[in-house]
Amino acid sequence: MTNYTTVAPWRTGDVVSATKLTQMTDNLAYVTGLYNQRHYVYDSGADIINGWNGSTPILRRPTQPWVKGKFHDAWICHNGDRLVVYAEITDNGNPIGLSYDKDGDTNPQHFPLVNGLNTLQLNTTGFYQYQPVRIRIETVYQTGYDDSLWVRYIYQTNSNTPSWPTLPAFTNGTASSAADLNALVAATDKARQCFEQPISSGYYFCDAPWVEQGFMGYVRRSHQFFNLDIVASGENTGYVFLNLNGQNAWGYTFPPGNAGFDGMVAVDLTSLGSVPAVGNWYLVQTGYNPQEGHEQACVFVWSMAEQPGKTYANFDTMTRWEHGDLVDGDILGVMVDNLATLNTNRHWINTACRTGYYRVNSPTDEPQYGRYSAYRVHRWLAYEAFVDDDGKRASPQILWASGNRGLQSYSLPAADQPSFFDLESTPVKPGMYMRITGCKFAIQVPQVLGGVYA
Amino acid sequence: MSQDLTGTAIASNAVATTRQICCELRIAWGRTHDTWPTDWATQATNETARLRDVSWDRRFNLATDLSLGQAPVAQMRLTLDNRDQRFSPFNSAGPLYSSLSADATTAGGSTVRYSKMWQTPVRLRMGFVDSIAGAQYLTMFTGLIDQPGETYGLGGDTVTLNVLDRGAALLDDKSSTRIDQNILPHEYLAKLLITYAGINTSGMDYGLAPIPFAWLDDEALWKEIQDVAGADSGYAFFDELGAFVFKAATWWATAPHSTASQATFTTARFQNLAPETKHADIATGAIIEYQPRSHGGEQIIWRASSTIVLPPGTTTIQAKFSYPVTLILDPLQPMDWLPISGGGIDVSGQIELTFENKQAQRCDLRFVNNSNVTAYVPNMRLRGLVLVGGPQEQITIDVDTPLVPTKQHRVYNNPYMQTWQQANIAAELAAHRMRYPRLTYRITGPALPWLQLGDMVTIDAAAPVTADRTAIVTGLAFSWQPDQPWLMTVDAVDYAGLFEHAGNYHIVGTDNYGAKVAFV
Repeated sequence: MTNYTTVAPWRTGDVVSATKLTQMTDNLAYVTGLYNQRHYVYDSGADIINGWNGSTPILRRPTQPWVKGKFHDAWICHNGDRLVVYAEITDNGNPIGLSYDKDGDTNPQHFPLVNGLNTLQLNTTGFYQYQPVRIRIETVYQTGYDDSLWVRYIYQTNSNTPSWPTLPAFTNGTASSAADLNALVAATDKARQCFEQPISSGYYFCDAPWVEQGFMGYVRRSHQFFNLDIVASGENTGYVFLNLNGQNAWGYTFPPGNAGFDGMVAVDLTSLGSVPAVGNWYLVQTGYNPQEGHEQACVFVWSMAEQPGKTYANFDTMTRWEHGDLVDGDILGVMVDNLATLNTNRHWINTACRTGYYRVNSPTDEPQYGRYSAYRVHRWLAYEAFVDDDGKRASPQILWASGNRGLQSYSLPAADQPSFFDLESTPVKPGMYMRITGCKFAIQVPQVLGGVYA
Repeated sequence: MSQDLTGTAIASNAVATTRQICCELRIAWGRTHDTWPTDWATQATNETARLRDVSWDRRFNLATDLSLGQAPVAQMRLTLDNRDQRFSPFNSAGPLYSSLSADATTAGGSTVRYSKMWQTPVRLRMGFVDSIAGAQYLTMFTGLIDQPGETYGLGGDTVTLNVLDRGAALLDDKSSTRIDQNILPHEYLAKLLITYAGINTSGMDYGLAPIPFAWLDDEALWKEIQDVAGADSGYAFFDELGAFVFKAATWWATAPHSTASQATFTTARFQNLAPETKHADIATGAIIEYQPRSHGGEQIIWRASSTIVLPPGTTTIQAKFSYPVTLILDPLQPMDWLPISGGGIDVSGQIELTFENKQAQRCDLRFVNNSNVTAYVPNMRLRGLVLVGGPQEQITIDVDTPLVPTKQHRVYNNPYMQTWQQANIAAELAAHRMRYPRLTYRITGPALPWLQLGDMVTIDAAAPVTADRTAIVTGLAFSWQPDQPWLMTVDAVDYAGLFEHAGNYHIVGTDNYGAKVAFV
């Protein structure tokens, strides 16, 4: 869904049009909504080599999410010119590199990585906006050295984050000006550029036996609440937990009789003992602590994400305009106030989507690929079908729910290259929950742009 | 717009008891729309002495909602004295022979003599002779000959020229373009006119709403220009001087010549005045349909209908796309195309493929077969990033206090009407403009040559219905014969009710915040 339209510039001598003012208001409302969207947790970690298929390493996700590995694969829908990677690298003499690779690109960009925060300046020539790009982080020498890599998060930002215009006061009794109105238009558009980012799906657990695996990821603090939508059942005295920023934020001990938990856990981040600062990335951990002899649990994590409270208290109600309405500076001033709030929280974060592989030593060799979940926002889904170690291509699907836990499926084309799928052709409406399976990545984008050819 | 009378006495001479008419007819023989004269005095011939009769008219379509954007091409009819066959294209002894006709040779070697009067530029100026300054002119019509006709016999030897304004050059001009995105109406109109008609534009109004996606695919330019203007609830036309005019939706609400009277018709200034109430056009609301468009991702945009045969050398074929395309993706082998020999051998190394004449919905594929055997490309396809049309949307606006039983006016089928903003402006304008029984006037009388479409005029006659009314000129017709009166017929629509808050709209840079109201 996109509800942003280009506003014709205001000029001195123009007649104030109610439709145009409403258009500006609608644009700002849309951008405000984008700011208030969910932020999914990045699926942190690394993959290890678990054998070779000829000269191709067979990648596996370690049983424990904190274990370091040699690979980290992710995809991003290109929007920005900088890549920020936080990598935990053990210095064992085996350097780590990152490639930024349009699928099939014969000359991808390569960058060396260091332990900690890496900000990589990309050459964006030849990329179109929202083009799917593969990011591979790997050890330069894949054999002979210990696993040394663990990636906290990857996102793209922009070195040219749009500058913010000075916003006018719109005081009644003072002369109107085109510059005032154009400042509203410009500020709204700059905010849109920041907030209208691709949406990389979150990670969900399926109903496999879930023993000492758990999940570790990082999310950037933007909102007040962290929501965990979970269905869990386990053996007596087993314990399911959610830790945020290194602190226990929620826990559930299974009572006798295998009574499970089914519901939404909403953690007020400001209530944590150590509150993660807005703009900082913090650790999210979920897991199951079994008691001896009671190791088995079934856990669905449907989704976990940061999101704002329901009231959006920081934003004032904006009035739509009608033919004949007084051109009231106070009403225009509400837009200024809301833009100021957006500016305070403005950022350019285009988070990557990690590719999952089979988990090593899983009792059922349960595939991790395609464990993506998200609520639909944008119209287009960027994805590519997953190919397993034997070259077999998975059948991508969308599993969608219409308000309850029951899921229905919708098949996606088994695309053999990064593709865009029109979600309008599915039953999944904006705001509905969906899982995307059988894919290397699943990223929603607002538009599919290739530019007008020259 | 009212033509500029600065430095002239035309206004006073037009209403003088005795009017001495002056006229100048120039025809740029041998020129066409493409070689439009830049100096009429030296590049066109003065044919005034031959003029026997002239009439012309220009008007907006007055149907229903005043048919936003619909301004038919203006016409002028000339009758010229042709007793010496000066204007006969086949009169080889005539002084204009080489300009009126030319020779061409058929493929078989035959010679064809043909008339080339079509699209010859014409300009008519008329005015009054001032007792002090002498002849003072205003340009009344600038256009192109569309249809000449000759008459010989008892009725006198004459030639009649049907002349259309410069829009005539665009009536049948079929053009194709690439896709322009988020382009303002005046920008797109300027681009069309300069690119495809060589007509420079200036002074156009700014549109209210950008067009998300605009392109042509063998469309007639004038129809497209009308639709572009209509999508912004404006008007597009050529004026008396041959200049292109785009007027936005706010035109009659705020333009000085539309809000201040440019002429007053009293009983001494007209012969007949016919007010008419058009009950048929009253409506209680408007339904405006629009067609959203958006980027549609990667699609197969073309499939060859049969195997492409490539003899040695160059072969060019045209691909017409299934969708409007923003980007043609490089065709991949073997999925998109695979040149082979008749025996199925891959010969792709011998075949070059380039795209030429790339437009939104077509391009030429130029193959060069560098081998000396024929190659074949079976089942070729192209992929691209396309635009898709969303479901048809509409806006319905009903007036608060309908005066008649429900009767809604519907506007549809404008491909440039793609957004809620465009449709809402049109709906607000149309609904309120049609809510009252429309009072129109037809006024005949002596010509007031400065009047133009969109001008406000005052009607102040004795009858109550015509006392102290203001109206907007929507049609102008003139006629004249030498030594006869110069007459005019004005069609006008009563100003009351055209805009709900007329005179109280907020002007940016003029009014204060907290004062005056918003337009539609």
